[in-house]
Amino acid sequence: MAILEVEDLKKHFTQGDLIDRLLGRVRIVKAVDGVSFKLNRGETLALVGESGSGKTTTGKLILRLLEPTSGRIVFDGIDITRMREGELRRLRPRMQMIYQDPYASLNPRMEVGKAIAEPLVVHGRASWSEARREALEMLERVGLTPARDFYRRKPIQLSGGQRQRVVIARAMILKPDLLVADEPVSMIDVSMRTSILKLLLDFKREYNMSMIMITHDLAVARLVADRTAVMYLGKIVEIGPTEDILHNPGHPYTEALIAAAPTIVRGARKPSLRIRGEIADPSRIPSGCRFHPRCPYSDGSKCVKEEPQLAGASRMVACHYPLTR
Amino acid sequence: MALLRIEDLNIDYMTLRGRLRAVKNASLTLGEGEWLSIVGESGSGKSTLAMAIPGLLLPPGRITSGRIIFQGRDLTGMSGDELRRIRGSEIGVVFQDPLTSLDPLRTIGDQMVEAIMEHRAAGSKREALEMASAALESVGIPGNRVKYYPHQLSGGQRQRVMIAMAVMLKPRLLIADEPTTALDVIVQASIMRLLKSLQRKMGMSIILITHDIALAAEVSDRIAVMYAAEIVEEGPAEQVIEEPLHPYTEALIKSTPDLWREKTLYSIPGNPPDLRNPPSGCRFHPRCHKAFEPCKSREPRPTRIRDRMVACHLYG
Repeated sequence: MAILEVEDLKKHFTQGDLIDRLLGRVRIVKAVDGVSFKLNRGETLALVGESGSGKTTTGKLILRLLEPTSGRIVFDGIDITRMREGELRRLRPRMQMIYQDPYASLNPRMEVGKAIAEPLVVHGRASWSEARREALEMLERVGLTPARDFYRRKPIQLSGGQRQRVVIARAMILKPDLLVADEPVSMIDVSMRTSILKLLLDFKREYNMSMIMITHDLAVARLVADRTAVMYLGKIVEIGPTEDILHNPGHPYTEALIAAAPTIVRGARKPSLRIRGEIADPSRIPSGCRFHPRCPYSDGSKCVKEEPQLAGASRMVACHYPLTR
Repeated sequence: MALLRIEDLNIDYMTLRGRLRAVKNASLTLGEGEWLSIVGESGSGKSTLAMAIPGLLLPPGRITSGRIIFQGRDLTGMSGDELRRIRGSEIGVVFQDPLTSLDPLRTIGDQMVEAIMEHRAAGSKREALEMASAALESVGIPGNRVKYYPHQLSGGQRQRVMIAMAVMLKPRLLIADEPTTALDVIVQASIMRLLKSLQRKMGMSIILITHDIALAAEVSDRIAVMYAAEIVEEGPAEQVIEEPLHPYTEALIKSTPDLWREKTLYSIPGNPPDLRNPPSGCRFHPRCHKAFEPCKSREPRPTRIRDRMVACHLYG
């Protein structure tokens, strides 16, 4: 049973001030440009891509933290695409998001214990004294012990990894059905990443929670995600079971991401593919296949003119000449 | 002959809550043309150690003892002016965030010309501009981009510009402090390939500071691992990665997610210590699964094993 269905989701921003508008110089930034996928209960989907791929915007749209331009978002059978804030408020506790920067997502003046307890009170789930007790348990759960000591600390007294644990505790205290985690470990030392990811996986199992893991790092996707969607310039270019995609990428961009991942394994059989340049400006999306200017396999005609569509069954690839079939 | 020799270096930060030793008894040797990566977690002292070399320690950081011998001269005794002359011409530095080191209001050519003229490396501004555009070409950016402002370039291109500025006067040593941490993986890979090719072409030595041991493994000749202000292991990259001696190095490798190894959710137990109040004995002992009695009470001394160094009681 799907907890989330996303259909042809788009978010176009207009760029330019009044004068640009009068002069007709407005540019349309197609941050998300037709994204569709389903997420099952208890499943984790990774959205992987570089900056500018639209993965973070997709995450925010799903939780209605941004207004979609078009498309449909169905959460647990309820169409929330155009739902008003008042109604959304009742659903909010069931959909939580955690962000990349634990420094920015905590109030610097608030004791971290109180920050964890607060959502329970705000959503009318508990009194302050009950919330405090639950927050203490939560601190214990996320490994910030002695909990009583950590409860009183301010964010500045914690390391980056400890702050991210607080942010996770704050999101998890509501036992959400869906968590969107936006690069939760990218600002944390490599050596501490696994412990944070493990914590998320433990909560996921316990609450039968579904998770969307937004990351630029395939190694992170591999550790947590059942399925992976690779995004490029606002579109999903490949989606399927994570291990399958990693062993046998179908899209040249996926292959390039794999080739760029560092490894300690000497003589690892990395794909040798190297791609040119950097991701395009989303206000000037290339014609045809949007990856063609960087793609070493581009045929220079069909790839330039015709946009490939996602095709396949459990494994879908949007490429005229997929590496697998 | 060694290009750089660091001997028993100690660096302290004076803070309101007391003295904090950020680098403790560090000794390292770097050969001509060699790439050394210093790997460690945040707060391990790796950046402090690297920044001390070209005299870029920020107050309240201070070298309290030890020597930094670069091409036969001790940098620790040098004046600010002398160090400024060496920076850029003999030692190039690249930081994590190129935006903080580029002036947004001036073209990159302008900023490069200024640096060249400061070091009197060109006779005229025109000659300096030619040097600047050649330097851009050498890092894969068209030379006519000297006219661009920093915001007209992507993050990856800006980092290339920083590298061009750092190497344009042909330094013997390049220090790169987390140069790709703010970049996407594909751009990161291309920057690392660029650094590797510059090292080869110019015969330059490189010190890379990174928290990512996999990144270090792919490019380095030697790797030094720092933990809680101390170098706990140093040696040829291949040996450090394939047969780590120190339990911390072993744990660090094991905890790093890697696409080409079996999937594991291993993480090092516990947290790095507070340097104001480091553990007794070996600083890693509370997190070490191989700890035995002497680890708690006695500090391990650096032990040389052939071409390698390790500071751990397991090795005498």
